[in-house]
Amino acid sequence: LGQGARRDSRRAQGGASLSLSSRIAPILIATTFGCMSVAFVRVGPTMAAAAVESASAPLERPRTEIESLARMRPGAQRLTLALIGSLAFLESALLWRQHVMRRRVEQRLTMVGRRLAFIGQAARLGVLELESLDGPVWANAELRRLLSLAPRAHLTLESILDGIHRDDRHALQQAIRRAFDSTEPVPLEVRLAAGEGQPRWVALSFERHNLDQAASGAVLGGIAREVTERKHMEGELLKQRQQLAHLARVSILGELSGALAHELNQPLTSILSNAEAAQHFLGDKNLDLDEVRDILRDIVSDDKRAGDVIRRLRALLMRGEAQLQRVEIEQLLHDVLMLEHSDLIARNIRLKTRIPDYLPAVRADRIALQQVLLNLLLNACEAMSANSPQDRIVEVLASMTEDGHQVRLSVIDRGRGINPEQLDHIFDPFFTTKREGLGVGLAICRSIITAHSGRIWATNGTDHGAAFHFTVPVFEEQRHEHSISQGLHRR
Amino acid sequence: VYVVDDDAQVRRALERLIRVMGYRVSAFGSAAEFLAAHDAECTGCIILDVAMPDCGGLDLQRQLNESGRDRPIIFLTGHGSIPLSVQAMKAGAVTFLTKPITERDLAAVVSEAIALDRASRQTRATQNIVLKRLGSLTRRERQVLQYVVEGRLNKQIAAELGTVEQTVKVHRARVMKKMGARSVAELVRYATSVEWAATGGVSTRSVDDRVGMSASPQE
Repeated sequence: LGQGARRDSRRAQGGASLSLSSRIAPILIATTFGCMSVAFVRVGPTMAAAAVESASAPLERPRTEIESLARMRPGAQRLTLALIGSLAFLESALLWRQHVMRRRVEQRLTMVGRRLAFIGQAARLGVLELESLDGPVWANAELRRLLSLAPRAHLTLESILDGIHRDDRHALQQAIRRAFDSTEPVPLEVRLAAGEGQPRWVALSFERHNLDQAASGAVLGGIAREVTERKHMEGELLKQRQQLAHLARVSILGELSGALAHELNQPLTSILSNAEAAQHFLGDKNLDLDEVRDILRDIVSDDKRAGDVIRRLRALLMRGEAQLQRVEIEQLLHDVLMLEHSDLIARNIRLKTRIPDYLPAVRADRIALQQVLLNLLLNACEAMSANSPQDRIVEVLASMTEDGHQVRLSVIDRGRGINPEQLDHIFDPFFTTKREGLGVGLAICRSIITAHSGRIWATNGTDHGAAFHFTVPVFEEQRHEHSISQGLHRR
Repeated sequence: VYVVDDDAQVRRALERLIRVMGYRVSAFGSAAEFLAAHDAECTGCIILDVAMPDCGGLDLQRQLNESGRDRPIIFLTGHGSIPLSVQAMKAGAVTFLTKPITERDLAAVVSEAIALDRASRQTRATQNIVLKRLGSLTRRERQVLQYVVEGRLNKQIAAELGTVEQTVKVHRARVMKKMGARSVAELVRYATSVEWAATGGVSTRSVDDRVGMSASPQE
C-alpha cells in the first residue's frame, strides 16, 4: 500500500493524477494510524530504530526490500510495515498540503493576470515583450486592440510592424534595436497603419529588463499608449502658435511699412527715370545705342531688385508650414537687412556685423529665424531712439557655442538697457516696456527659438545698452531625413 | 543741377534723365561728397534725397543755409512724411516730391528752381553793387540820401543840416552820380533794396508810401 501511495505521489508530483492520491489519502491515514498504534505497543525503541533504517533503504529496490521483510521475524515485520505506513502517511499529508498551496497560487496567478489585463485595459496601456528580434512576441489584449491584431494570433516583430504606419516602421525597428543594446528606456512616437483620415498616434517606450536573476534572462519590454488626442492638441497648439507668429510678423512689417515703401520706391524711381531718358534718346537724331543699352540693363537690374524685396515680403507675410532647412547666417542677415535697410537709415542707426568666415550653416526655419532677427533689430533700434545720432549703433555678432553644436547670434544695442528685475520676465507673454507694445514679440521669439531646440536670453552691457542672444543648432549633413521630419512632428 | 542720392542706381537714372532734359548734371552719393565738390557760384538747383546714411538731406540743407552757399533744393523722398516736408519747406525748400517722379513733374520744378536761383543771384548781385556804391558815400552825402529817401525837400534838408539849399543840391547831385541813379525813384529803389541800416547806421523805416509823393516834385 505504501509503495502504491509512493508511486502515486511520484506521479502526482509530475502533476498528472493528483486527484487519485487525494482520494486514497483518508484510507491511508486510517490504516497507518492503526499500524502505528500496534507497532508502538509491541516493539521497543531499539527495534524501531532498526526498522527506520531498513525503511529508509533505497526505494529503487522494493522487491529486495519485500524479500528481506519476509525473512524478518514476525515482530520486526509488523514494525517495519507500520513504519512504512506511517512514512507513507506523512508523505501523502505533505502532498495534500502542496496541492492546496498550488491551487491557492494558481488562483492568485489568475487573479494577478486578470488584474494586469484590467489595468492594461483601464489605463489603455498596451504591453509587449520580446526576447529577440526574430523570436515570438507576447502582447496584451490592449496592444492587440491598438494594432488591430487578432486576439490569440501568434505574434512576431513582423506582425507588430505591420500594425505601424509604413513611414514609421523603420524608426520603430531602429528603436527596438537600440533598446536591446541600451540600459536606458527608448521612447518614440509612431503612427498606426490602420484607419483613414487623421493619423492615429502611439507613444512607445522600450526598456530591457530581466525576468529572473540570471543576466541571460533579459527581455525587451514595451509599453504603448495611444496619444492621438494629445498629438492633435499639439497640432492645434502649433497651428495657433504659428498664427500668432504670423500676426507678429505682419505687425513687424506694418512697423516697417514706410521703410519698405522706400525700398520699393527706389527701383521704381530709377526705372521710371531711365525709361523716360531712353524715350528721349530714341527721339534723338544721333541715336546713342550704347546709352540705351546701359539704360535697359539698369532697368532690368532694378526690376529684379524690386522683385527681390517683394519676394522677401511675401515670404514673411505668407502663412506657411514651418520647414527646417539649411540656413547660412550671412544670407539670413542679408535677407533681413534688405527689409530693414531703409528703416536703419531713417532712424540714423549704423549697423556693425561680425560674422566669422568659418561659421557653419544652421538648421532652422528660414522665415521664423528672419522674424526673430528682425524683431530683435527693431527692438534695438527703438531702444536707441533717445540717443544722439553718433551713439546709435547696433551690433550683430555670430559665433559658435563652446560645445560646437550651436551657433549663437547676438544683437547688441546702446540704449538704456533692461531693468535687472525685468531681465527674467522680458520673454513672458504680454510683458512690455513700450507704451504701445503688446508684449508678444519677444514671447514669440522665445517660442520660435525653443521649437528649434535653441535658447534665447538677454543681458545688460557693462556700461550701457542691452544684448539679446539666441542659439540655433548647426546643420548636420549626415542627419537622416526621417529624423528631421520627426523633429517637426514633435513640434 | 546737382543730384545727391545714396542709391547709385537712382542717382544714375536721374542723372541721365536730367541730362536729356537739357541741363548740366553733377551727381553725388553723399552730402559730404557734394559739399566737397560743388561750385557755389554756378546757377542751379539741388535734387536731394531726404534719407541718406550719416548726413540726411535736411542736415545738408541746414549746413548750406548756415554757410550762405544755399541754392534752391528739390527734396525727394521714398515715403513722404508731413513733419519732414514741413521742416524742409520752412527751411526754404522749393518743393518736396515723392518717389517715383515723372519727367514732367521734374521738368516743372527744376526749371522753377533754376529760375528762382537766377533771380536770387541777380538780386544778390544788384545788392552787392548798391552796397558798394553806398560805401563810397561820405557821411554828409549819406545823411542827404537818408532825407531824400524820406521824401524831404532840399530846403527842409538844408534846414535840418544847418546849411544852405545850394550845398544840399551839390551833395544830392553827387549822391545821384555815385549811386548811378538816373532818377530819384531809382535812387530810392536802390537804397531800399539793401538793408539800409547796415550802411548808414540810420534806423530803417518804411519809405514805400512816400516815394511816390516825393519823387515827382524832385524831378
